[in-house]
Amino acid sequence: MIKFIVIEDDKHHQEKVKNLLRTVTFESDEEIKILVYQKFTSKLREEILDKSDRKIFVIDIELEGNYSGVQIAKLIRENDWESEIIFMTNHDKMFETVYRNVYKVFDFIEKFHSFDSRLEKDIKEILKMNFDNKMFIYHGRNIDLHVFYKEILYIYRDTEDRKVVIVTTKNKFSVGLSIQDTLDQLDNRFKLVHRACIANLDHVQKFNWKDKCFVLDNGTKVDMLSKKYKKEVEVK
Amino acid sequence: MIDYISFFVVAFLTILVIMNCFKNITKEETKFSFKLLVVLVLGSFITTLLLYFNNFFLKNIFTLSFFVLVFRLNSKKTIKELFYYAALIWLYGLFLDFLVMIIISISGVANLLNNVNIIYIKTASSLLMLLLIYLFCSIKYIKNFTNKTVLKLIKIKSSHIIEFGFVIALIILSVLCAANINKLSVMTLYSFIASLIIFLIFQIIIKKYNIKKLSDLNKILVKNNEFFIKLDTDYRILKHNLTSQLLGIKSVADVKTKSLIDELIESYNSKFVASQDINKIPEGINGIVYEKVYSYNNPNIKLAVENNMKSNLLETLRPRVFNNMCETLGVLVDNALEAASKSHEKSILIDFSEEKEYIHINISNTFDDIIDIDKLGEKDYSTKGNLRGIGLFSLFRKNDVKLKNKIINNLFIVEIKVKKSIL
Repeated sequence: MIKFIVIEDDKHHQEKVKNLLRTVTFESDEEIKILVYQKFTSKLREEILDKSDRKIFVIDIELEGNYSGVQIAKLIRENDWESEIIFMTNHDKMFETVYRNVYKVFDFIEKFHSFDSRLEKDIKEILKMNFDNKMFIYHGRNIDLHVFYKEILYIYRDTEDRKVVIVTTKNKFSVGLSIQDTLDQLDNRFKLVHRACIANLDHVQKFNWKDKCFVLDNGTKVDMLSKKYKKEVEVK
Repeated sequence: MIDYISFFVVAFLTILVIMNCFKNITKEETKFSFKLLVVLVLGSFITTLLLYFNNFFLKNIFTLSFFVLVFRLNSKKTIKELFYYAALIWLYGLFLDFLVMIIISISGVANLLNNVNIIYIKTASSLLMLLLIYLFCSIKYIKNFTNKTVLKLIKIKSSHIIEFGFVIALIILSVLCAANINKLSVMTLYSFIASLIIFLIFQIIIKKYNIKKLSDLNKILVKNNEFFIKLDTDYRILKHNLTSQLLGIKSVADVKTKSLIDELIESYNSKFVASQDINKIPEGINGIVYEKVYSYNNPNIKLAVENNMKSNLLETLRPRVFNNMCETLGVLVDNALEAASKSHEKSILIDFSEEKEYIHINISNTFDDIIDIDKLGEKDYSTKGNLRGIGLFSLFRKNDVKLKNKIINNLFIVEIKVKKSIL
């Protein structure tokens, strides 16, 4: 089931969004539920904390009451990085950029400028996406690390520091785990391709067994490939 | 001769086992070198001598100090931390020893060993103890408990330990005096009471001095804060007036000049973007953030601020807590600016909120970097180059300001939690 949670204090706009969502999701194969709230309530909090269903939040940034739209987004992201958030706003671009990056907001839609078409486009895009927000979690001494599986390119063992290095699309993280312990935490898209390397097959463009390397979708070439693991890798 | 050799072997094995226990608990790698081997052999030799001459007090003091030295050869932790680790492992040994003795006496095993040479019994029991300590220190719960306990213990300041020690000594002396009151002379009693009063007066003077020092520092921070707010206001007025005048000139300028004026106005406006949200920062700390943002001077960084606080920080927090919070905020905003500037998204969000007992400040910034998760926050580690890791390390040691860090993909989030003072 997919839940659309609309948080909008303007009743007229609330109805508009609800009708739009009904229209856009009419042909969807999934079971759809649309919940509407005028402000932050204890019921909405329960809904936010409930992780059983896939959720898409459509929130008015300027809500009346104790909680603004941004505060609700903050509350959502305290425990949930899987749900998608769409903001309805009139704010400026810089504001939009920071919140898009920090709260992983899918889109900011201006209420009085192509609102219907923008919302329809966004909802269709979200419904097409795989809800793939599984995370790799590691608790360090002073910090906790959460990385989406889909962001991980490959993982290798640094023999000098004797640590496992997780290479993502933007960063590299060293953690005190063994390759096997790391592999045990991941799902089937991750395969051991070398005794000291795990690759995310979703990001591998091609395996070159002859030259013992694989090439990622960003063009990076990684020289850690062993024929010993060819059978397992090809049985994807 | 045999006893001497067996003592030496047991001492050597003890040190090796304790080193392994330390490695298991802290997950720090041990690199064996010739230097380490020489130290281990020398230490074992001295321990053997102390065992042989059966000096319990000296033996335990030396053992504890020697463990700290051996740990220090392979670890970058402070002496204080290593001492606490050594003490805890030593206490586990004592506890297991005590447990084993009870089991042996209850089970009657001791009676079976009456005819066995005492040296063999001592050696065998020592080896058994080493195995038990090793297994005990391999238990996940014990490892976590030890690490958490050491983290708590290192936050205790030396002055508190001295005060505590003095109070304990005073209590013991008081009990002894009370027990021997008839034998004590009046002069001794008066001297005892006078020492107590002098110590208390001394403590009060030190505390008053520290409070005065913090209040003065607090006043400087407030003045600094007011200065930067005034500077920002003057800058805004200047910018507004300059823009208006330039637009006036633009109206009579030719095409080339108009384009130059447009560029100039845009460059002033883009430098100002970061400050739009800065007005939302609570009074009392806005000066610090102003100073950091302006001195960093990177117009590409996008800064947003959310403020849901109603309290006045200067009235809600004690001077020491306020100063610690300012220091923490300063370091974290610096880190956020530097990390965000190197990232593709260049975004920072500072969020202020409060509940009944606490003030919360969340700083979230994007980053693109290489980070050792286990070393972050440790003394000599930094992603910014050599000799730059002390800032974060010193923040974790503050008792008044709690920090919680997490990374979500390419987002670095620090949650600062400060307890409000009851004033």
